[in-house]
Amino acid sequence: MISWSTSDIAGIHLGDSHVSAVRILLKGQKVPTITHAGWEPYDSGAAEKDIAGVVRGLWKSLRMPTRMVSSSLRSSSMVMRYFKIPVMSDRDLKSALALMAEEALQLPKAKLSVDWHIEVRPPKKETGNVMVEGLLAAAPIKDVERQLTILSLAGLDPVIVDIRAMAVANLFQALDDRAGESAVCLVNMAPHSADVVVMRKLGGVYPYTVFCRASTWGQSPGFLAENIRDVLKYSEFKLDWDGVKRVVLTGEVPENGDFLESLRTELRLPVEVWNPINDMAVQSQGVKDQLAKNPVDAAKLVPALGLALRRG
Amino acid sequence: MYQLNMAREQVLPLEKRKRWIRWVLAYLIAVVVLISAVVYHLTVHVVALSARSDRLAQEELLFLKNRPGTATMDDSLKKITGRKVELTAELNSLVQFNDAGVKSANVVLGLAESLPVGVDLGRVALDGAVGTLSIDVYVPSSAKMDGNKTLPSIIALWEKSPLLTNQISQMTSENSERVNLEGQDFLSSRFSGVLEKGFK
Repeated sequence: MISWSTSDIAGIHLGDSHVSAVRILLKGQKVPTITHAGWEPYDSGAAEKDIAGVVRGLWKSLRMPTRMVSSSLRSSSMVMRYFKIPVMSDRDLKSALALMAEEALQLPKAKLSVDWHIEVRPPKKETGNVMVEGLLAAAPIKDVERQLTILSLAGLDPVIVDIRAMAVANLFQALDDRAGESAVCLVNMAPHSADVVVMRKLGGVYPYTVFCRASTWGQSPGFLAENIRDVLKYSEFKLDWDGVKRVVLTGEVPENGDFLESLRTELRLPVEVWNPINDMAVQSQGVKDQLAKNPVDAAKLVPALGLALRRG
Repeated sequence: MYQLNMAREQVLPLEKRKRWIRWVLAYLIAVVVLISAVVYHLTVHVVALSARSDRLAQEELLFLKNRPGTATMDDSLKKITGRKVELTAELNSLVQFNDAGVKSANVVLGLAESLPVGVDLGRVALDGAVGTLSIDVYVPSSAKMDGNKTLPSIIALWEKSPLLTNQISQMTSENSERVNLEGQDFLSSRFSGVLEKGFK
């Protein structure tokens, strides 16, 4: 079903264990305002039509006024690469990035879905080759098509298939007052995975997804810290970025106090927990009550909030 | 904002939708403008046709009126009033139109030959609401005619029309007055009668 409004887009995230959906008003608002929000448990490995049924039910229960959605891609094979290559024509750049994706996923071009973001930097006098840098994302096209099939079966009109880590990075940039002050390591936590995103002060983002080895992150803070440390090292030494000054955790952060303390100790950096809902307005009392009543579940909304911010 | 879209090839992205919407809106506006233009043109055309039709009718009337003797009073009155007027053949034959308004007409009375003295000019006034026909008779004062001879003849002729009542209001030379028309002196008298079956 094609929608003709281009500004009323809801965010939907098919997470590890829950489907979450959010609609946000941006126009004429001082801060982004949540108008609809909800989540529903589901089996991520179920058949497409079963997942679509859950999504349809969620949409109905939320009385979501729009069917146009921005969703996140759920794919275990997805890769993200930070690239820095000499400046070339658009056609050559497209070929180079497609080749990079083929190498990373070991799949032919026809079976790949590829997109990239070029970092726009102010021009400066450089010696030697002028370089272009950015982020490449690639995934098997069948995963993208599955996602689109689920959403279409649910009666929705997908216009954007984003990446969870980037949706959360967008959310952080939009809401955090100190986002541009220094390099930040943003960690979005899901029950069985975590997106570690290094956000450079001068612009530039390096995302990396870590999959949990234990049953929960609460049981393995050391593994998460180790991966965060590796990502920080990569950004600092390989990409030659400034050192990260703080680590911000968001999403489904384990509640036990030891977890945070363990991270602080192992990373030797300030670690804070950020709840983006606190930086947003909520339109209806019903949604406000729902979020206040289930703060742990409300944390599942974080990727969907970032997706709902997309307008292009 | 990072705007990655892994389904850029599969879905209709927002940019394209916006572009489509702009095209659709532009198309709709163009259609509305076109339809408005056509309606306006047709309206103007119809009005122009109507005006032309009226003008042709007027021209036809003028044509008829400008051909003395060819238009009967019956036809001409119908043109002028839009109503059917039945007059006798006698009266018709006496009247030749040479100018007209909707409710009045200047006439040259063709009475000269049938009258002892000449009558050069006359005017027929038609009152559509009442159905009154009046004729102003102008007798050249230089003709030295006897108004008492002239006017009774006209009155007699007037009274010959069975469709006119005898409500003749002015019929004597005493009611005549001197008028100057186109540099000549005339004696003017008015004859009025109500058309009996005139305006239906």
